[in-house]
Amino acid sequence: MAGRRLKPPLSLSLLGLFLAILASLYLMSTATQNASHLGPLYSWLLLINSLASILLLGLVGANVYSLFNQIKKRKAGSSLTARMVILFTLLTLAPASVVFYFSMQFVQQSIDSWFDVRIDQAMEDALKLGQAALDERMRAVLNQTEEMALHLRDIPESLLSVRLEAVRDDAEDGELTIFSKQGRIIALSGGQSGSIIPDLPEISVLLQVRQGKSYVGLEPYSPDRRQIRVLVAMTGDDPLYLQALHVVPVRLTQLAETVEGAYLHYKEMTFLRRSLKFTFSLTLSLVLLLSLLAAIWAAFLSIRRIVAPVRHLAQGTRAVAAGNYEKRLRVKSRDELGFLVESFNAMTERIALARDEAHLSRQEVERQRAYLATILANLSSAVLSLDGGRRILMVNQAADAMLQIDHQTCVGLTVETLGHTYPHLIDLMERLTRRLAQETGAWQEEMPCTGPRGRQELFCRGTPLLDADGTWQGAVVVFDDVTALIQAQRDAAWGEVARRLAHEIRNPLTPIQLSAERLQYKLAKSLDAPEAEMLERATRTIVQQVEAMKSMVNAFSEYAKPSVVRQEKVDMAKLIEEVVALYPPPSGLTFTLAMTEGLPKVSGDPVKLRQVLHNLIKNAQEAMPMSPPGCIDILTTRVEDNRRHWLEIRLHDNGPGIPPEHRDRVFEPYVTTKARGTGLGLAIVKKIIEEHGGSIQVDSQADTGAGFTIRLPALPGE
Amino acid sequence: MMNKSRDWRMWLQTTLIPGLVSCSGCSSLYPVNANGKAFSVIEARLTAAGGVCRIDAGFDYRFTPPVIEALEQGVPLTLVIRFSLAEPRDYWPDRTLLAVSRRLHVSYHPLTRSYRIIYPDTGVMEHFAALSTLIEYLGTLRDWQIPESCTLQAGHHYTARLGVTLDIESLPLPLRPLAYLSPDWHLQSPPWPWPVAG
Repeated sequence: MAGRRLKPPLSLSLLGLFLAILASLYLMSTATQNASHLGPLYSWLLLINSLASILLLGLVGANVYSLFNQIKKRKAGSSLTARMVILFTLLTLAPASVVFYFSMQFVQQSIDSWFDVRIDQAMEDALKLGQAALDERMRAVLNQTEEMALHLRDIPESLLSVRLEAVRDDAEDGELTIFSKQGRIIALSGGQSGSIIPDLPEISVLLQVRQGKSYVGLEPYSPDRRQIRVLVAMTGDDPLYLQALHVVPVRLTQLAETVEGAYLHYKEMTFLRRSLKFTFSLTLSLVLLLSLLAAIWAAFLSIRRIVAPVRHLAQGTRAVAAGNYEKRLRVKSRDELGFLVESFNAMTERIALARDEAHLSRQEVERQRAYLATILANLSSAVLSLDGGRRILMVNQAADAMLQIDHQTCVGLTVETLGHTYPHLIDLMERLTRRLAQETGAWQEEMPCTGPRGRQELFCRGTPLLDADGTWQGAVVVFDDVTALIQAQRDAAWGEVARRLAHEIRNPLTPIQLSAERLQYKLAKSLDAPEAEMLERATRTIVQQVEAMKSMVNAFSEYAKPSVVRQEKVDMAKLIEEVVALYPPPSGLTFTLAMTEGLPKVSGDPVKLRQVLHNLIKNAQEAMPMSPPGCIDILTTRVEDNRRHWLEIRLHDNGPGIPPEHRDRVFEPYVTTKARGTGLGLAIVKKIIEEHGGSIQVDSQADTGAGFTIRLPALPGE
Repeated sequence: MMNKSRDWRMWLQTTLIPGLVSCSGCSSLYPVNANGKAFSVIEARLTAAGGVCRIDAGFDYRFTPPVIEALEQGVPLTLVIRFSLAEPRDYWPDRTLLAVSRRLHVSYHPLTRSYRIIYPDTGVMEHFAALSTLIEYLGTLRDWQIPESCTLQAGHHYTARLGVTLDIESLPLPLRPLAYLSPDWHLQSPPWPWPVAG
């Protein structure tokens, strides 16, 4: 942060940069002025401004590249920045281009307007005039000198000095020198330079004169004066040379130089016209380029600052869309955008609050749902919830055992489809559909159902689900398996009947028997043989029937008596073998025993368990005809069901079997299909097995004969 | 001692401009001497006596037509003759002992149809009726006395360098950008080095 504070603000840096550019441009434009003392710096300024242009071009290029990349990556705010930059650039470019075009036109036309053919001609003429004036003067001096040379011809060298002085009197101010081929001064007159040694001509001039051509030339005499030099050859055996030096009048020199200066300047200007246009265009272009680039760069910087809050807002919105409600943006300005950012912050805060509340509510609902699901899963009743289209929304685990279905695959099925999927439920589901269609309120009904485990008595309760308008939205149907309850009630009733029978019938039986025996004893002697035989027959019948009734009453008494089960460890395999051993082949029965290895032992009363086996075998024996010999298969295995271990004994005979209509009630007293027996055998079997915590069922899968499946709880660790 | 204000001009002319003007092939359209340069030093000699150095040298000047045209249209030209004396050092850049320059302005005078050379440091003026005469005159440098003290130590070896350049920075301002960009105006001789024994 300290480092940031040390930095000058961006606007200040920008201002500084623009001032520097402006100053450089100003200096450059000033340097182009003719009289400017900045002229020597022009190249430097040109170079600096060119480098600044390149630098700015690089900066703008980098910014454009960066913006292009941002657009490609679809970064927030990049498109807006691009649009604003393009707009800004166009807005800057349009007026600048117009100004540039007209400025260029103006510069070109202004420069062209400086030059005129007439002035051009005038300048040429003025120069020629000056040249003519000087030529005239030179020609005059030449003529004069040639005349002098003519006069001095053939005069001896000794007299030349005197003659020269005489000739010079005619001439105006000037210097006359006669010298020999070797450069020896013969005569000198009117020395004007103040120097003792006369100013002799260059060797090239001498060479020219030696060839017979006179020389005349204009030379500088002093910084502001000119002199005319004339050199003429004098005839004779030993050629001599006459040189005349004639100073041009000051006035003429000044006039000639003024004309020459103006001419030179004009010529130079004419020559530089193209260069001048180029220079002005270059300067103007550089100014435009630099200004444009600086403006575009400044546009980039300022637009980025303007767009920054929008970009942050977009990023914030994306974060919120992605579920990050903790995103807060820094409020940097107090303008409309700042207000927008503040509103965004407030909005996200509220959303976060709402999200938290919703989360809590969801958690609560979830908890409630889990609680409900646990309760439903652990209910012994099967619960189905249906929607308005009688489609199953939910079914609990208890339904699996009760209705023999897989509750996980049932969700989404309609009640009718469920009936088709599980054919044993067709009747039940039809009744349910009918009931649901008829009832608008709560209802209950007993619905028997015949499934794979036989007949079940289901007690069904339906509760409609209504919305706020009272429209039927579905229903909850609860099934309770009351088969065991009804059976228990039936068993209890039978037990009561048996107890009463035993109590009420047993008492008069003994007096009946005794009375019958007494009758026979007393009357047999007094009756004749046929009558006595009839009496004896009648008495025997009475006694036999009383005995039969007694045994029946005893059986009932046995059935009704609450038994005490002796608990000890019983090896059922051994027990079965012992019981089977009591039925040798003459008994008309053959046994097939199948016992798996490692059978567990059970806890129980061996006497009662032996009675179970006897009863079952006897039941089979009584049901089977004498021939062919009956065959009983006994299969003993160890099974695991519902995480408990059981010893399972399956008995199956090849007798006539049990009619299906009797299968459900075969374990009830006096339900028998046999001609013999008390009808209590299987009831007692069931009673004993249940007293041992086991179960017995009719094996309905058997095709022929009758079969029973007994399950006894295996001892743990066996 | 070389004038500091001229340093950057020299840098401009010797370093920057050759970089900018890569179109050196264009100069082959105009007269060049045996070295392939418009200007060149043919010979040079240094005479040192009593702390005074004198230089005699021969130059070959080949002005390009645009330069001659500009001269005849009244644009004065400035030539800079540069001389430097350095003492070579092993594994180190040479130590410059002396760096001087001499400027001379060449101009055309239409009134007298003559060419003039002015030495601004001395004010000496020379007139020539023809450009060829002027160029011939310029080709010989006689007895240029170095304006700084110049003592060569006996037993030391020195390297003297002499060169001549047309000074673009002295041209009229409008002509400078074009002159920088055109190879016709880059008239300069490569530095002519020669060993000098103390």
